[in-house]
This record gives sequence, structure tokens and C-alpha cells, in this order.
Amino acid sequence: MKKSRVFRIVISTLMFLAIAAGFSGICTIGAKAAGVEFFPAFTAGSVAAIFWILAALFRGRVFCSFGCPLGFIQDITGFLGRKVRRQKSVVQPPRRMMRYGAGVFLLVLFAFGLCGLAGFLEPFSVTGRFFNSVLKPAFQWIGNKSGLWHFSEITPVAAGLIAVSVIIMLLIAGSAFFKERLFCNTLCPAGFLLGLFSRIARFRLKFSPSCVKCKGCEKVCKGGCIDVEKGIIDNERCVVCGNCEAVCKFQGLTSAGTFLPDSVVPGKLDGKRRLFLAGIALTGAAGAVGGNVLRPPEDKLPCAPPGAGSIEEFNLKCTGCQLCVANCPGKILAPALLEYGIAGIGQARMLPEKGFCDFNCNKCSNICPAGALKPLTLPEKRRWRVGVVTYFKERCVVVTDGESCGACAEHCPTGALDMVDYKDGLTIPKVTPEICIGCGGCEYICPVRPLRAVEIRGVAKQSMTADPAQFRSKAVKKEPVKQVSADDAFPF
Amino acid sequence: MLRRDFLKGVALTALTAGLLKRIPLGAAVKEGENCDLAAVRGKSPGDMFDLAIAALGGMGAFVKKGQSVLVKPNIGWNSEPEKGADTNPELVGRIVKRALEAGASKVMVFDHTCDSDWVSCYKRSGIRDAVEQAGGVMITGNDKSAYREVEIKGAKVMKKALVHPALLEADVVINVPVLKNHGGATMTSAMKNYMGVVWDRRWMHKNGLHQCIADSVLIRKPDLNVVDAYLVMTYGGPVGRSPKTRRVKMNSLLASRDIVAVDTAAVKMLGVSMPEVNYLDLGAELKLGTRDLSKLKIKRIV
Repeated sequence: MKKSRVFRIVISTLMFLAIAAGFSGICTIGAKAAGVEFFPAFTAGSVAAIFWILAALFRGRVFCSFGCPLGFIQDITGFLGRKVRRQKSVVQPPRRMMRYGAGVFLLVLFAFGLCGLAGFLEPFSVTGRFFNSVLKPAFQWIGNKSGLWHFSEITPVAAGLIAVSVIIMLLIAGSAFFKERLFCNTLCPAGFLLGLFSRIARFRLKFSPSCVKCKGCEKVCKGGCIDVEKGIIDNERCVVCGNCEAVCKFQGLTSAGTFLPDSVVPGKLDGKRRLFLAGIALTGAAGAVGGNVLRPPEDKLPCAPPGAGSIEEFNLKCTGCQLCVANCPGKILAPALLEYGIAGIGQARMLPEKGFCDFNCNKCSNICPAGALKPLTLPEKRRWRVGVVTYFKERCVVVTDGESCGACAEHCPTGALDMVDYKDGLTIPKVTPEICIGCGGCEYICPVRPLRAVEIRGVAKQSMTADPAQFRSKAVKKEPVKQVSADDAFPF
Repeated sequence: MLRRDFLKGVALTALTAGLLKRIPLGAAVKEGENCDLAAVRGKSPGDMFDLAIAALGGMGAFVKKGQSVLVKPNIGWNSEPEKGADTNPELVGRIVKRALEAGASKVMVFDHTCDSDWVSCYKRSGIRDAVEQAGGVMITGNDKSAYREVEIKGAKVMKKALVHPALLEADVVINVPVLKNHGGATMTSAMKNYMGVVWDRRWMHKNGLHQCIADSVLIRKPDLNVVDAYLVMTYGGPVGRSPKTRRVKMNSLLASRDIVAVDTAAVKMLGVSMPEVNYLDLGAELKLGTRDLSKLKIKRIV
């Protein structure tokens, strides 16, 4: 019996470490591991989601104890709570209406594309946001202050985002200190969804005839879902931690497979409750529609990361977990504030302030666990348009100051910005928008302030640009690399 | 056809067809005498360096036993050696090796890369492997907190700047640019390679690029400049991602103590019009070197 508990602790620790490594930005395998997270996988419609649902139908919410990083954090604070407060778990009320209400509400938000907002309660995104906006800068700061390790720059994060991430994490981890998996059984959308399947799990736990009603299991139950007195184990709330089985000395619990009669599971959806849920759904829908009205106008769209497809599709899937932001070597990805509207708070967007999109990198599109970014191959990515450049000649330093520059064209990976003759031996940029991919290199390096001479505007729908080869002049296309023969004299 | 293209075309045609057999500039170099500027052609980049350094008096004339050496190549771009956007790795590796053989205590190599992923730039350019194989140390140039603010004495515009500490601390500085066309500054070679020791290049672009380039050399004049003209981007530089990019395999190398002189020779190699490379005039005004090649002893090794 103990073995299963050890197994759970080992697996969940490994999962947590893999995900933490993924958010460090230096471990692609860790970042890929995030693909098994239930909610992002559910959004992406990937195999991992089916796996966790099958596991739920088989035994219960296995994901919550094995795969969830936020569950891991709560298990730690819950463990501390038990040690420090010497608390014992108590039977908790099912709080079914709260769970269903929150679940339905959040799912409606997700369905209407308020994912960035709903991501504030989705467990993987909560963890990701905390890692990226709080732990990472804190780790960098501590290293730089103490001199133990060193970062060239502390990742800048908006103060509001730090504050919100800290508050949410404190509330969730704090609630676990007192009531262990309270969050998972009330507000968590993954818990809600998996719970629906766990309700009818084939091999869920029940009391066996050898149970002596010692209540040992009740005292260690993280979900507070065992009620020995009433003979009830609410499998919808059970996170399959294995504590009860480990503690039972009498083989009083068995998972031998039979469908239990429905009456065992407390709480039924009567008419009133259905009305309540419908009301919640309607409120959510109204809020979602309202939130969607506040979208940015077409000509002021932010650049979504490469692979997003269209901004609309992206907003429907990105839960703002920050995995791509944490892994962006070009440092161009940042969480959005209100650029996508209220709906997209925390979703990733490109901001050529600290860097620009590396031409030879397609990492973000290949690690997105939520399917918000479709995988792009490098050749695709190199021609993948996320935005398009506008050149403001009247702001350009060559025109205003009569000085050489060319920084934008230098940083342009496709030749969409090219230097052409201007006057007095000076050159100015010329734009070929057909081959601009919107990487932001030009905007990043442009020295003109406050308004830059080149700006990238996001496109509503991402697509491949024209083939740069088409823009090659014919003479150049045919011209091979010239060789200077060794006999030629130096021209000086 | 545009005037510039026309000039380039003429120069290149002349160069390749061997029509430009002019009377060589500069004083004759006697047998066994050290020269001021060495121009080598027709060997591998590393071997050309060996010939050039011998003509300049040997590595021992530059690196003394126990001295620390900084080799500053151009690793600006995340680009393969065959693109000619970064300095040839074999050349950088050879310089590191020769410096260590001459008794250098430590040879450091860095560039403040333009592409943001500096680790990839070091790797893809082949320079990291070449340097480490030769026994040198790659250090990062993209860590702002390491840069030190220094006053630049004699500078006209950039009177102070955040500068990479390796440049300030090294006993010997060897500047190893790759010769390229540059969309903004017309040519990038030895003087422009010095932008890589300054943190805020955007400021340089904003405040008169040519003067700032000349000012940057005042921070600490290099002891030796080795211009890699093995594979030269004659148009579409400095990165060569533009579809209009042209490259010429010049198989050449220039080396000199004089940064202005070596760039003056480089201008002629590239075949661009001299006044457009304004930082050469400004550099001569700051007494960084001479633009008058006829006053130099030039050794041509072909």
C-alpha cells in the first residue's frame, strides 16, 4: 500500500521539476513536458488530455496528484500545515455548487475567448505565471545581490502582474496550508472537468466489509472527501493521493471494480441548481461578450507569437501560462497587459523592447502546450509573418540629422528593409513589405525616440510571406560567388 | 544605373579581370625589414595570418610573455562561416594559438553580438569552437552589468561610454574584423568593429555614427588590426540576408598596427567610394592613423 504513495510522490516531484526546468528557459525537454498538463492539453485537444480523462474514468483524478504542478505546491504547504498545525483532515462539505458554478463560469470564459483572464485560475497557468513573473526575477535578483550566481539582466515584469501572481499563489498555497486541496475542489477548472469523469470511475475506492470505522483514512484525506460515518467516499473530489490506502491497517478500502449506486455520491442537480448553473453560464457569457467588445482595433493589433494563426484563434486558446515567454531567447515575448483587450491579459505577445525574434528560432511554436501556437519548422518560421513594418521617413535619423545609420536594415533578416541611395552619399531604408515577417529587429534597434522611425504592426491573420527569391534582381540571381585570382594585384 | 552601383561594378570588374594593375603605393620593403602594412592573398585565413605577422615582425613584437591578450573578432550575427557575416573562425583560432605560443598568460575573445542570442552567435560562427580548441577563453559581451563607464579623452561626440572591461584590462588588443559592405556606414572593417566594445550602439547610431565610430577607437587603440578579407560581402552587408547580397571570395588578409591605414586599404579592396566611409577622415583627424598609404611600407604577399 505504501508503495503507491511513494510512487505518487516520486512522479509528481519529477513532473514538477521538469516543469520548473521548462520555465527556466534553458531546458527544452522540460518545456515539452508541459504538453502533458491536463488543461492546456484539453485546449489543444491532444492525446494527453484523453489519457487523463481515461485515467479519470478508470480510477479518478490521477492528474491532480501526479501531474499538476499547482497540486504539488499545495501538497507541500498542506504537508507543512499538517506538521506545523498538527491538524487532521476533517470531512469537508462537497461544495458541489461552488465547483460547478466556477467550472461552468470559467469554461464559458474559455469558450468565448477570455482565456487570458480565465488563466488566472487554471492551475498550470497559475504556476507558470508565478514561475515567470515572480520566481524567475526573484532568483535572478537574489543571485545578483548575493554574488552567488549572476544574470546580466533581471527580467522585467509589470508590477501589476507580479502583484496578482503573488496574491493568487498566496491564496491558493495558503488555503492548502489549512484545508489542503480546497482550491482543487472549488475553483479549479481542471479539477471540475476531471471530477465529472471521476464521478463514474470504474475502479474508484469504496469501503470494504473489513473496515472497522477507525476514521484513520478520514484524517489524512487531502480532499476531505471521506465520510466514514456516512460510509461515503466522494470520488469526484478524490485526488487519488493514496494517503487513505497507505494509512489503513485493515484493508478497509478497496478499489475492486463495480459501479456503485448513484445514491452514494452526495448532491444531486435539481431544478433550482440547474437554474443556478444556467444563470452563472449566462453571466459568464455576457461578461465574455463584453470583454470581447474591448478588443484592439484592426490597425493597432499587437503581434502574436509565430504559429498563432490568427489573433482570434490565438486568443481562444492561449491561457497565458508564460512558457513561451520564459523560453524566448530573443526576449521579444512578453505577457500582454491590455494589448489584446481585457480578454487577453497575460497572453503572450511580441514586444521589441528588450530584444527581437531570432530568425533561426522556432522554439515558442514548438513548445506551446495549449495548441495556441502551431508548430512551425524553421524554413516555415523564416517566412512566417506575424506583423508588418511601417517606415516613417520624417522620423528617420538619416533624414532629420543627415547622419548615416542603417541599423534597421542591418537587423532585417529577410531584406524587407534595404538601404538605398538617398543623397550626399547617405543611404535610407526602403521597404519591401511583401517579405517582411515582423520579427521586430528593426523596431528594436531603431535609435529614434520617443517615436521610432520603424514600427511593426500585428496582422490579424498570420501567413507565409512571398518568397524573397522573387525579389532578387535577375542579374544577381544568376551571379555566382566571384573569385579573385591569386595573380591579381592589390588595388593599392 | 545608380552611381554607387556603377562605381562598385567598375571596381569589381577591374579587380576580377585584373585590369587594375596599378603601380603599387607605398615605399619598397627591403628584404628582412618589417613592414607597416601586410597584404596577403591566396592561402587559407590562418596561413595568411602567419605570413602577415611574420612580415610585421612576428607575434613576439606584439605579445610579450605573461601578457593578457584580447582578440576582438566580429561575431555580430548568428550566421555560418560560409556567409561571411562574422570573422573567419580559422583566422581567430590561429591568432589565439599564436598569442599563446608567444607566451600570453590568457587570451580572451568576445563580441557584443547584434543578434540577441549571443550563445548561438558564438557557436554558429564557428568561433567558439576554434577559440576553445586553440586554448583561448570565450567571454560574453552581452552582459550590461559588466560594462564600465569610461571617459573618452579627445572624443568629439561620444565623450563617455559603457565599455567592455576586457578591452580596458587586456595588455594587448588584437582587432580582427571581417571586411564587409555596410548598408549604413558603407564599409565595416577595423574601425567599425570597435562598436562591439561599446554597450549602447543605438546611441551611436543616434548621434552621428561616423564620429562615434572614430571616437570609440580612442577608448583604447588596438595594438594590431587583422582584416579578414577571405570572403567579402560586397553588397547587402553587414548580415547578407538580403536577397540582393553579393559576395566575392577575395582570399585576402590585411594586417597593420595602424587602424586607419588598414581600413584605407580595405576601402580599396571593397571598391567603394572613399568619402562615403566618413569615419576614416574623422579617424585621421583624431590622429588614430594615416590615410596616406604612400607613406607606409607595404608588403604584398601573393
